[in-house]
Amino acid sequence: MVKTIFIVGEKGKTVLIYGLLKKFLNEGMKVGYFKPISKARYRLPSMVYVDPDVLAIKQALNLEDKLEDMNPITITRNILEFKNSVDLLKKQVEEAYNRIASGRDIVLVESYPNLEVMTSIGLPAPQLAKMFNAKTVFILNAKDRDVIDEMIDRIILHNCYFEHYGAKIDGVIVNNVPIYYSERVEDIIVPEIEKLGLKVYGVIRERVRLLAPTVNDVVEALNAEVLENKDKLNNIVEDIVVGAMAPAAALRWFRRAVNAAIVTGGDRTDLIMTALETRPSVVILTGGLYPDIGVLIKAREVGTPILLVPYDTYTTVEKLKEVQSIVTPSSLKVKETDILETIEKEIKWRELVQQ
Amino acid sequence: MQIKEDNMKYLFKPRSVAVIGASREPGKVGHAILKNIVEGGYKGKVYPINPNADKILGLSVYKTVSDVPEDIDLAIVVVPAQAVLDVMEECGKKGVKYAVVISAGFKEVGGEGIEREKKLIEIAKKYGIRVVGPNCLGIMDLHTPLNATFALMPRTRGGIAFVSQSGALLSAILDWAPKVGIGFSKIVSLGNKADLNEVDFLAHLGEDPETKVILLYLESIVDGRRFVEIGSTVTRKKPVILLKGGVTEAGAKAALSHTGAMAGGVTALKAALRKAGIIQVTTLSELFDMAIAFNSQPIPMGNRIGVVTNAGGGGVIASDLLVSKGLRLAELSKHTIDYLRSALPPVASIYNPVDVIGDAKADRYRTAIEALLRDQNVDGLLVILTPQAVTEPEETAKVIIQLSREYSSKPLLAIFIGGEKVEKATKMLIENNIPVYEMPERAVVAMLGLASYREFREYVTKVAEHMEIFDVDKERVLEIIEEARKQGRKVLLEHEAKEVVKSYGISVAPTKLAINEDEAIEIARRFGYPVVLKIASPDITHKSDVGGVIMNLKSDEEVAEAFRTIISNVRRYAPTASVYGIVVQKMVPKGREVIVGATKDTTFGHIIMFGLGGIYTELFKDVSFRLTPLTLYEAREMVAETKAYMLLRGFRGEPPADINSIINVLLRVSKLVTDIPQIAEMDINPLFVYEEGVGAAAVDVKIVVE
Repeated sequence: MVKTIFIVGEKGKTVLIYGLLKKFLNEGMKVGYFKPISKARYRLPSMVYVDPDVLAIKQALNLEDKLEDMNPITITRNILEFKNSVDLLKKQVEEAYNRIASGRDIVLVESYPNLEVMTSIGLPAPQLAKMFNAKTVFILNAKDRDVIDEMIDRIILHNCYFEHYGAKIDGVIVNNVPIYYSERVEDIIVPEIEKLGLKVYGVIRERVRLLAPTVNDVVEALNAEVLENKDKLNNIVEDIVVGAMAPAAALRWFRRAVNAAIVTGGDRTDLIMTALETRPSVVILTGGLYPDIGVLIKAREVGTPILLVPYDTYTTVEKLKEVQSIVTPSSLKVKETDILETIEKEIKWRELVQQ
Repeated sequence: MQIKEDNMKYLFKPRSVAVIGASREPGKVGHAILKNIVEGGYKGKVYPINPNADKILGLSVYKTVSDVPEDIDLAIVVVPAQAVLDVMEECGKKGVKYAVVISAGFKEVGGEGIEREKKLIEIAKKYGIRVVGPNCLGIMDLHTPLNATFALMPRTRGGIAFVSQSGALLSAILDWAPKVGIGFSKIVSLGNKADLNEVDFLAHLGEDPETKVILLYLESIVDGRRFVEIGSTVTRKKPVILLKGGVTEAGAKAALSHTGAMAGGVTALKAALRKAGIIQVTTLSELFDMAIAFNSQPIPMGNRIGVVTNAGGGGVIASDLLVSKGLRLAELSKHTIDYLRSALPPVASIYNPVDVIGDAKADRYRTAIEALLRDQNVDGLLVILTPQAVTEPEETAKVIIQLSREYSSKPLLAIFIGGEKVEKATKMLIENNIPVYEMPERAVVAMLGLASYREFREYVTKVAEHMEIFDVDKERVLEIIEEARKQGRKVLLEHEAKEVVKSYGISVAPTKLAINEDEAIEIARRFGYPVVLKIASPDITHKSDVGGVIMNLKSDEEVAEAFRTIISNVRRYAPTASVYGIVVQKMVPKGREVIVGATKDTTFGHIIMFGLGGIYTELFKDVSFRLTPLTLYEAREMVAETKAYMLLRGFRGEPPADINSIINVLLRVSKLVTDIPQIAEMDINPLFVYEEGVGAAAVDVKIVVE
């Protein structure tokens, strides 16, 4: 009998799901991933909209399911039009789910970012939970809160919503807890949640850079030309630094950045040379300006890839930030050890699979 | 790479030379080099190597180096790049000692050239061949004589060695040199510097008896540390003048605009050259104007310069220039003045600059020049001549030549302004080794070079003493850095940075990291109130800008409140920053604020900065820099040369500050960054300096590691 866990809630779901799936896989279980409803953020060359999260998980875990099974509904712009075909939709979701679940020991279902999505047309999340006979786990994000205690209110609100549709939330994972909140979370908030009758499956402390794209992801996202060190695109990119000052001043910023992507004009030879001295992950040259030969020689010496993009610096940085915000297969892979370590240490993963 | 015992003897004075890639066809480099070696008067054996020729320029040709029956000291390689590696293998097997690789197509072209150069070095290392180049013009020794270049060797030789990273520039200089009286000893074109670089040649030329002055034109310096080290030993014996390409003032200005952020570039270069005693010039004409003077003139005993002129204007211009460059116009002794008054016409100016006036003939020049050269108050002399109605340029030149020989302990530089009328006299002076310039500014620069060298040489000797500091805990520092590295951080948190400097014997305000309110209160109680709370995040450089600092907290409640306020401020103003907690620091009594910093220059290593703290650093740019390792003399000088020094010594009734404790901190920071080269940047800002005898305490410390 397949065990299904419905992961709902705030930021950080995909990485957590990846970690859990990987963990279960390592424990010898057959795992599946299902995201019934997603937002169209990415369009494949075949003009099909997909969610990059789904793609990332599929590729990073080598799942052989079809994309349209893993993610049957993709919301582009309108929702209300679905009202007339809600039965068809339900059927579609159910059939896709069954295909994913068949032969699997465990399936993790990821919810849409906003939990209330499609309530208007009669397909609210609690119903999906019932449909899959799933255990629902709510992810709370402790980091982006001024008042940490609000988390309790939040979970009560959503529990009410689930109960309204005759379902229930089974437990909670408190994610991304900054060090200065950790004592309060452990001593006060966790007991408070348990008093509500909910299980606490884990408290994950804040980790900066739990995810980072690789230079390869950057190359794809920027559609960049790789001028040097084509074989070194597995470097990870964590910080973005724009080089616009005189080299001597810029050096300060370059030195502080960790696994940096340094963005500057191709004609800033002095600055690029200075940047290379600090061994960044990648140097991105903007404006389509081809660099001096000396730059490429130096890059070869220090082993830093040099990319050339046609965009201006601002656009380039914006695109880079976008890459950083999405989950890519390679970013999951490079950080796999860290992610697994977190799961092992901070999540009661055995309890999650038990009834 | 260590320099061998034979010290390049077989490079500059080989017993035999093979030209690999010698060509029959005039106009080819392989032909020109062979021809230059033969026609340059080289007395050793010459072996042209070419698989397709029998005789070139009357010499028997060998198919490969291995066919040469005797030993080869030096191989000149001019084959196409693709063939160089094979040729080097053969040279290695043959036991060739030095190779000058003229061929291009290596690192400078990128791509496969980089790999080729790597292999070239591997082969050279395997066989112990030392390599000049590749991609160079070659080398010349005018005393051997050996012209292993494809440029013409100048007829005149002398004591000037020229090492250049630009080959083309060299050819031009070689062509121009005889005209202005430049006599070279050795010429080296560095090319890509795959093996032998500027430092190797600097070390060799420092010992070379045929070389009196070393000129360097460099665009990059391979090993800055060694350059300074070797430089400082060479400059004790002979002057070294550097023209460094690729330095811009823009960079230096930008560097100073940050508190405690001094950077490399110009600042580091200046600090390095100061330590090495190397004279830096910024133009080619300065380089050679100085070189000419060094080649034939003695080093002056001081910077008091006399001027003799027949044109009032020329004297005034020269005097202004002298003073503006930091030289002094000699004050003539009473004896000289009295003598000149009696010997010169009444309208002549008998004070320095001495104007022998327009109608002066050679004899009047003799009177004035001799009087000034005899005067103990004059360390060096400029003689200006402008051709006027009765002027005798040639006769005057003769007088100068004779007196310069007679009074050979003082430098004398001639300035003959004019065209045709002074042409012959100028030539005479050149032929007799008297530096002659056509404009006063050039002679002044040359004199400045001579005088600076004396200062530099003294300085290099003075700063040579090193102080040893033993009471440091290097292991502890390495532990802290390793811990940060494990957490993926390059920036040390404040309590870590303070622990680092504390381990090196620098007093710090007590500081500890708290991760929650209760801990903060506990630490505050232990330290005793009042305390300061500051955010601990590697992503926040300017803590107070994001509301990350709250001072003067006097109770548990205030600490708890401040903890929450800082967290909330930082969440708002730096939402992406990762926060490790909050550091609690004991408030220490306010002292006079200074900054001590260090930054690692990519070429020369660490430089140390000292300056007044707070807003003054940025406002007045009142900072001093020195290259590490710092000596006691340099540390003292760093403090003394700032305006802050006046304040620290006690200004208007203020008690003097503990300057010795600053010097102690400077030396300890120098020791720290020398022991732990991973430190890329550090700042102690502010360092509170208390009254004499009370010491100093580091209030905030920032450290960035590589």
